[in-house]
Amino acid sequence: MQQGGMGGPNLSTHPGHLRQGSLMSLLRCAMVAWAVCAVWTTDDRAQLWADEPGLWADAVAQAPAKPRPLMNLAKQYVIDGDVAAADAAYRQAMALASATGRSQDERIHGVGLAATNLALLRCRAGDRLGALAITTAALKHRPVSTTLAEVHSWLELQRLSCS
Amino acid sequence: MARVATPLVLVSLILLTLALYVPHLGAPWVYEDENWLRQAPQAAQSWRAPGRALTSQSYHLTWQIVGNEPLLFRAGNVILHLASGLLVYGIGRALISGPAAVVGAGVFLLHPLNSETVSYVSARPDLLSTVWILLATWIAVACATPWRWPLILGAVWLGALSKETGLLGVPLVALTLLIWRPAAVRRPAFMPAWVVLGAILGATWSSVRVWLEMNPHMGGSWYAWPDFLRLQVTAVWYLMSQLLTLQSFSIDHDILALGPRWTIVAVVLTVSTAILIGIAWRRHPLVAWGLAWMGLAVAPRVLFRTNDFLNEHQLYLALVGPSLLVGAAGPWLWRWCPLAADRAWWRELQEHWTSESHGGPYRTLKGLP
Repeated sequence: MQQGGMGGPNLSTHPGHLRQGSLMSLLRCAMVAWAVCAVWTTDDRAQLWADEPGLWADAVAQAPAKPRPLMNLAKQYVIDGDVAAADAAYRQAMALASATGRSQDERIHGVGLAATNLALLRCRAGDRLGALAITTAALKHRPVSTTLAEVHSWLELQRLSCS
Repeated sequence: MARVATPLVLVSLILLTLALYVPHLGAPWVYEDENWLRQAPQAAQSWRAPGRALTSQSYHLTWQIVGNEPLLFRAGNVILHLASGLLVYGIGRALISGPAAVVGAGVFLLHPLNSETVSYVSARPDLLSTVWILLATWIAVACATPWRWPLILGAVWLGALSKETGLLGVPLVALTLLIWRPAAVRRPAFMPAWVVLGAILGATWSSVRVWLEMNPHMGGSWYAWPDFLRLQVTAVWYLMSQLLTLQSFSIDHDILALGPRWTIVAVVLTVSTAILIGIAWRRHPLVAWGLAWMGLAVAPRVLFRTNDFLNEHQLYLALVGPSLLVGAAGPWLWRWCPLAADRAWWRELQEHWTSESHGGPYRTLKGLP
């Protein structure tokens, strides 16, 4: 250990002081790193908010058991014209909404809206009977979403007018 | 030096905020933005209180200028965010110190937890009401003008016309004055009058009554009170944890999937916070104020049982308190030595430690702080 001129310790090179200094530096580095990470993440989030499909894909990754992000991702697939992906996502959303542990709101509106959108997708493809089968099956869930009931009635009317 | 440095740092923070958000101003509409856009052309007829008239007017005005182009709508959000950041600085400067206020404003402006509010045009009500509440608070603590009470009331009124939660300006201004300017509220009639005023304002807002009586078929929650409270408190702390962890940001959080561990953490944190506010009220006013501000700002989310749990943009107002807390902790931690906060004490200990005649290092601790 290096001694100071007065016989006392030279604090700048004392092992304890060095440890103190390095801990301070470490703390400061951690604070700077946190600040840089925060700004970096904000930049990431701002970019993600400019890309709605990416935003919902990220939400699905964050909450894989929640039906709403998946339904909104499915809507993005529909906008992009990827019907197969939308179909699969709506089906998965229906399954998630009726899973154990989900809220009553999700059971009603989650199942109802996913089934409605799935039926409308089928309708757009010209498969009205397929659409009717989807709404009929979903109507077995109780209580029933109003939107789903309305779409089912409309599909029934279409079937009756065609037959 | 500080006189030059503070404005420079503030300008840098504003430029950095602009650099983060301006490149994405022209991005397409997101999620519920189109709902607001659909109402924008009709907003001119809905200029009446109570309601969200000011927010509707801000959409309507923007729509009249640019129509359906998102650029100016988002630019409006960024400008409001900058205004909020500057008001956070103003409040911090009046309450604590310049450097802490700058760091607090920096945290508020640049934190990813606020990015949803800035990027999402539908979050305009939260932004607008926060600006007015912060203005009311700033006037309360930093302006000595005799006109300040009408100005505070005017700002709170405009905040409530931006979003119903703007009514929180009444308790938040009262909290700020109680902690930081007790002399201003020492008159015996002040607090009862302020409480009555808040109650009258709340009662006139028809939507507040609607929220209180909300049923599950009209946007209310299916959960019973204890379950709703448990889940919403968990949501508050889960989102607040992101302030430090900088992880798991999302447009749609799954609170139901968090599990019982998070609920326990949330309950412990809520109780500890309430105790801490009581302990810190006189000795550490910033801690008490920051935590109580956060609590009051999220209180409506716990009181009104809506069918959804907390979202990131709904925390915008609440983040003012924690931002200034982090702002004050930042410069303090920067100077703090992990082994010895008091350098003189450390030096004395070092001298005794290395002395030939000492009787062991721990004896020297006697009488030291």
